[in-house]
Amino acid sequence: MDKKKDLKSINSTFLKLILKHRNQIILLLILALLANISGLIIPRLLGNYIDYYNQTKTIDWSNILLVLGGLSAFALVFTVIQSALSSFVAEKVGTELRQSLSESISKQTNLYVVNQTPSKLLTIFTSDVDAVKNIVSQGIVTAFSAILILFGSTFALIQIKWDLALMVLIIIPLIVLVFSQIFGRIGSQFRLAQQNLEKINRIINESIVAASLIRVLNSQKSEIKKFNHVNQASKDINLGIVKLFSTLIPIITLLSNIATLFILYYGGKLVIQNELSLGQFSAFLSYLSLLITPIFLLSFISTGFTRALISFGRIYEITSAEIQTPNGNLKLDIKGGVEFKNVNLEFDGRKVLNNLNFNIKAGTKTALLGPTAAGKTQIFNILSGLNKASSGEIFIDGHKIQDIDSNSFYNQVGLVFQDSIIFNTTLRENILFKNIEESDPETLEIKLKNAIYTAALDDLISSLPDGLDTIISERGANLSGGQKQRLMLARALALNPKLLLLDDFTARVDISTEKLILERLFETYPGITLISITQKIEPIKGYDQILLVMESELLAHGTHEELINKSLEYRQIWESQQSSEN
Amino acid sequence: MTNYDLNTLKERKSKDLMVNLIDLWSYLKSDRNLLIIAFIVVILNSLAGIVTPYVIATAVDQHISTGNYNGIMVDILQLSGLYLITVVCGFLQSRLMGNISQNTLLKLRDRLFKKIQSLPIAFFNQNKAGELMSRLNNDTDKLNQFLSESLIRFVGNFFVIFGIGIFIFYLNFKLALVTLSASVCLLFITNVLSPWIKNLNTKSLAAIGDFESSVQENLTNFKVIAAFNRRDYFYKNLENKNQIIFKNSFWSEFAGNLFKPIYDFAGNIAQILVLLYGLYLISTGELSIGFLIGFISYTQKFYEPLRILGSIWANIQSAIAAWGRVKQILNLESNLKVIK
Repeated sequence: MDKKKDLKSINSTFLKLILKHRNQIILLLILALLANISGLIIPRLLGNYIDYYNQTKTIDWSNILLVLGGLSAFALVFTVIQSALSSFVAEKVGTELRQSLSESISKQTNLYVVNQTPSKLLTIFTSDVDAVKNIVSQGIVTAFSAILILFGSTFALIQIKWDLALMVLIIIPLIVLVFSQIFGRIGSQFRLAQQNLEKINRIINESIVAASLIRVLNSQKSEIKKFNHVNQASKDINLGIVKLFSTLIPIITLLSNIATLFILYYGGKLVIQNELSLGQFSAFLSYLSLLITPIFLLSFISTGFTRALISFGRIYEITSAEIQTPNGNLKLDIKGGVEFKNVNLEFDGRKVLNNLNFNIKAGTKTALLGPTAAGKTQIFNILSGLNKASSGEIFIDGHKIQDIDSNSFYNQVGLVFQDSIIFNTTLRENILFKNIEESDPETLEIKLKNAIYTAALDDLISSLPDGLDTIISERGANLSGGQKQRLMLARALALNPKLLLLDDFTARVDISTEKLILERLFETYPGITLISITQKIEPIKGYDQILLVMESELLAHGTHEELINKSLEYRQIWESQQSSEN
Repeated sequence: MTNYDLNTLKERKSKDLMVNLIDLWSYLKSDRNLLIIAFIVVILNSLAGIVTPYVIATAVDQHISTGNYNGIMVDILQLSGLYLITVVCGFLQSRLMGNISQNTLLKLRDRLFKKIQSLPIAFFNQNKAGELMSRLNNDTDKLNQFLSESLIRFVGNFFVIFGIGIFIFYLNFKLALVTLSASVCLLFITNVLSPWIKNLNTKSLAAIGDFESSVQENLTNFKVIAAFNRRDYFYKNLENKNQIIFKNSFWSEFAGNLFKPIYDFAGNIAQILVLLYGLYLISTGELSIGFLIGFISYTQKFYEPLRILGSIWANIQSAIAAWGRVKQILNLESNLKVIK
């Protein structure tokens, strides 16, 4: 999408957001009007009461108290109601933005989330939503009040003595001029600041999520170095903004001071010549001071507005993103046959999978063997629909994978990922994560039982006081690595799958448990097709087919005996693993 | 086992503004020189701000009402000088305070980051990732906003208020008492409201932290959510916590916004009282009209910065709440023994 069109749709959507709440905003503006009118009248009245005393030498106590006191109370009440409504609208807008973001993201593919990065999305959920919500209520109302006071004071000044007023009001266009000069530069600085904030947050978040890895690799120093870099950048950008503001404000103050000098000289002259009363003069000075604050307020609001628009752009990018709906609608009873034909996968110009060709028969046990970063997990990702191949075809039971209805697919394919993914909810919901919606409770219980039995989780569950209703903490901190893996397995098995994909399952599970699980797997789920990614040969020696994947290529395939004979690399791996075990 | 759970660790008594300022001092120490200069500049600026209305009041009272043109010119010259000081000091003030704030923020972030690198895994296991991110991202951002924007205005206005407060007593003891009576009530109300507001702020921050930890968890686990087609889990989970944010944040916003109208009201009441009592003093011959006009101008100059303080008081409370949460992390000690 070209930038111009983009900007246009951002602006129009932003406008729509404001218009959506127009009733409340109009009410807010009316309240602001009422609240500010009293503030505008009071200086005039003060001046009048002084003049009145001067002429009559009497103090009209009750009038002063009633009128001025009444007006002040009036202003108080209306401002409080206004701020209640303002807070309400602000929070409403914030909540709706977050809701809209959750909704949009929930419909996206995993690849989208990975590309956007959780860090960036998190920043958008918080910092950007805050910037927008503040403007919609507070910004608009404060700007309105400021403009009101500006016009009101101007009017009052002109009404008292128009020629004196005009002399003073010249400063306003001057201020606007200075403002617009300095202002343009502030917008771009804000954009930089927001981007940098995102970088800072990303590094902090990585340090939290990858905390154990950092400690294992002892890479704290390099993380700190990375952080110092963006931290320093943040300071520099913010100082740039400080520099701009520190020039802006003194200039505006100077201009208003010059105006005061004018009033003293010319106004003073008029008073001496009896063309202006002392009371009016006093009111004049008061209104001049009233004039300055709105100007500052408007300048702060415009920066807020710029920030809000930038933030809204980022929010809009997410909420308007195209949702890649999988368009397969073939509902299939999967048997488990898998074929890869000339499959290639590229990332950033790098070939991650190179011309992969293999065939897996339904009901067989296949192992994907190879060293780290060979591309095995990428095969898994493509097969599980989390990623799309750059070229080539993938067939399930002879049907192209993209033609299959995704719900039907995921109901029959069990996936056990390499990293433990545990949700902060009960054990039961973690295992029955997929078909928690199933209507028949009996079938559900059977599936649950089978899954728990096969994954050898019975011991764990009986050891917990709340059993299946135990709530597991987010990182599964009260479970061991092996238990987490088995929980993930149970989750996949609860579907009663026809095809089971395991990514490095055996890494955290000891050999005897693994043997037990596999026995139970084929006993409880007969005819299941198993594809297991692994690095160790011994446990998968007896599998129907072993695919040797190295450096993004399929080097060889066959049974263990066949591979010993025809693949040098396989033999080397086998021999080195044999010797390390001895 | 050492308890690293931030939600159960007791927050040290941080209600007092002074305690927090003392804490902040450790970060400000190295900018000592800048601070001293900034201090001097702020005082100069405030002095200029205090003397200015006095000159104006003198001009009105003694020279305008008596037709003394020369006197008016002298006043104008004096004012020009004062205004020049104000402008230069204003510039220096924001530059210096800006530098100090940014340096402080840099050091704070640096210390926080080094601290989390030094803590053992137990810390990360006992706290939700999203909640930690919330503290380190949002809460430091709130401090950032405070340091970049509010602190400068706070310091400048505080001195002006202080200076004018003393000065008006010098001008006219009785009228000054009247002017300050309204602000004494303000102080009282502020003290009563502040703990309530801080409490609401903390709740609001906690609700946001909870939401963020859900976002973090669900985004990291997204492939399972996608593969197991539980997009509803993602949405529902976040929606619940979103609604909780709405409730808590509304109250903390509303409460924070109460100060401005209350301070406005106090300012108006003060002006009314000054007017009434001032007119009375004029009728007994103790005061001239010109003087009263000048004094009313001072009253306005006193309540204007007070009003600004009122509007940023909410920010200050919010920053204090954020600081409390950040301090918890900074105060943690790693329980790993160092093997020499």
